Amino acid sequence: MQLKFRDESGDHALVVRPESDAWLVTLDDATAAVTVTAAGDGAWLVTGPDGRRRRAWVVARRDERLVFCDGRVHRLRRPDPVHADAASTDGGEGPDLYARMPGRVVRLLVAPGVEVAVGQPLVIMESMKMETELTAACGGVVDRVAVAEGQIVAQGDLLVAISPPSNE
Amino acid sequence: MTASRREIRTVLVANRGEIAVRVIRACRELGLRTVAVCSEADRHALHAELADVAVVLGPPEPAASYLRGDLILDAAARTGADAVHPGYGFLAENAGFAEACAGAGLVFIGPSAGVIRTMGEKTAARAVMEKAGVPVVPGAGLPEPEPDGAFAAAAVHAVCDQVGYPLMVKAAFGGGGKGMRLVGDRAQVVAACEAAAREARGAFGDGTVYVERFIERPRHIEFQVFGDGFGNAVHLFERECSIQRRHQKIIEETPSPALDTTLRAAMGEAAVAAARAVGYEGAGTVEFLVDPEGHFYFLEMNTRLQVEHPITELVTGQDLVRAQIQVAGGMPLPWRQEDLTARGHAIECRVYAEDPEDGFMPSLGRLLLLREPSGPGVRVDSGVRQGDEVSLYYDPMIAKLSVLAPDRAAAIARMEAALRAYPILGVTTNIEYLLAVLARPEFAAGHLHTGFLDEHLPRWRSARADDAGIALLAAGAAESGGRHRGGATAGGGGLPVAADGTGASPWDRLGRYRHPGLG
Repeated sequence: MQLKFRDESGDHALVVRPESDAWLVTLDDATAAVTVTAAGDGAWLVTGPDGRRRRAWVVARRDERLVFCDGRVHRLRRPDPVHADAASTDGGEGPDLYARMPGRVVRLLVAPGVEVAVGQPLVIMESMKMETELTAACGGVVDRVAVAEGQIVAQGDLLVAISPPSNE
Repeated sequence: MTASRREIRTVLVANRGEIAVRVIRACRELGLRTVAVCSEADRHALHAELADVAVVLGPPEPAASYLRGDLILDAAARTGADAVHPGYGFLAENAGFAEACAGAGLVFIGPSAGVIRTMGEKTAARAVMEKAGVPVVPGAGLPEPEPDGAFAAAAVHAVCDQVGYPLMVKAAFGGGGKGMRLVGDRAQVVAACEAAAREARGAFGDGTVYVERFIERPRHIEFQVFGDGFGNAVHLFERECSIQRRHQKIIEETPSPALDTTLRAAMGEAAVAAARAVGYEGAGTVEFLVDPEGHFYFLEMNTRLQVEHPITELVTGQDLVRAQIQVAGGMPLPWRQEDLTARGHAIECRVYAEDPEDGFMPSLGRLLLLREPSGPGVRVDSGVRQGDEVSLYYDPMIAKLSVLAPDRAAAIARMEAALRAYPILGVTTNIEYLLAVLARPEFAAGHLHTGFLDEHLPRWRSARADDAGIALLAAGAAESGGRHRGGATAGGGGLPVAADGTGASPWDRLGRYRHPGLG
């Protein structure tokens, strides 16, 4: 059986073959397969070439696979050709400012038309009784302020729309 | 002073999460009946199911449920409770609630309303401590702000210039780091006072703030104290709580690597003097700042059971919740100072649903997989189970993981092993971050101060890429099905799928995700 996963470093291809009481898994261009055994309770034992075993727990969430190993958590994705365009919903990359978690808008520090610099505070939010200053991810001009002071917002809601400087 | 015996048969626990569970367990061991209260969101929470009776208070928002003292007293009346344990947070340090309990003929398991009021107002507490000869941090109160929240700049400057910069702005009725601001110089001080006052008003319902000189690189060391109605007061040694993010403790330990016998004795005496100064009854904590030269200053007194009480229980072998209930019932303290000894070294880590790579923002969602570590010297205080939800309504702490070992190095090693064996999937947690803190050479050396995390782990990033191969291999096997040791197929191991309400069976889903043309 062949599988594809995507993690922070990119796409990975796996070949998985059953062998008596375990799985033999080959990762990407590796020449040797690694033995992986179900240990019950959601745990898997991964036996490295040196014979050392690592324990990992795996759970599925929609097209994600979440893995815990030695205190670290990995988020893998099964690339889904149908929904390939419905990329990340975080919206954290562009200049626009989104609510990172549900909360209340305490104060708006900018108005439309204002020029802002990287790191400049734009909005004070309150979530879980803690005030947080949200700052501009890059410089530009405020296009639109999408919320009002006192408003309750959901995670991912647009707060402030920003156009990057035009002379690029 | 003499206390009268007050029969306690049924305890209402006015809290949720791990502390409610902790109190219910202690009550059960004492043969007491327990009443849980819960919000509509917590109907099936662990604490609600564990108690003998559960009463739903109202909607999920704390202001509509766990902070509704009137509804809680009503629940106590309806269930025949004769005592109320407030836990920590919510109404634990609300003098009005303690008074209302007494007024309703209920035993409030905690100090008197008067003591809560005095200690809750940080400026009044400072005055009492100064009078009792306990050293305090130099500081002063601020004038009242205008109704719109603005402070008169000249008045603020007059007070703050006197105290000196850098200084801390603090909420008079605060705690837990809320309503607190560090101010580097006079240019920022007015804005910081206004922000702190606003946050304090939101969190504590009172926006009064005051300023204190900022002690550079201090340790935060607190003493557990206990008093009874017969005038007895003891301390149960210290807890070092210097490892904090955003003024919230995340790792605590006892004994403190900074105290020698002489300093411990001096601080212990000051802590007991503080408790005696107010006629303290029950469990309390006297917090001190300790500067690099070993000078200590009273910071505040917490009139409740602390989050981090388990490490004191581990080294002393005592049950603080049991003692709280006994003292509240009018019995004398179960110990004299000379009966109390501490053995070994204990560490607690607070496991939070939060993202250390994103400013420690709470991470909300369902706990899809949760296994707790165990073994000698490992204690988990948890209020959640697999399948439970971390919601925005409450503190995102998942559990407290505590260890006891013969010495500090062994305790650190035991904690590291326990954290690595604590899989939590579905929300982002601080487990890897806690491991990174414990792995710092400065931590091993015991060189702790409240700025430790900012100094040694600024802009921390996960090293998950190191284990990426293991994760992919395990996920690959899990995806391929539930082949178990011994050759059994589907159903033994396999891939648990999120119960996120979409209704598809695990095997339907696996089929859908199988690569086209394969399999």
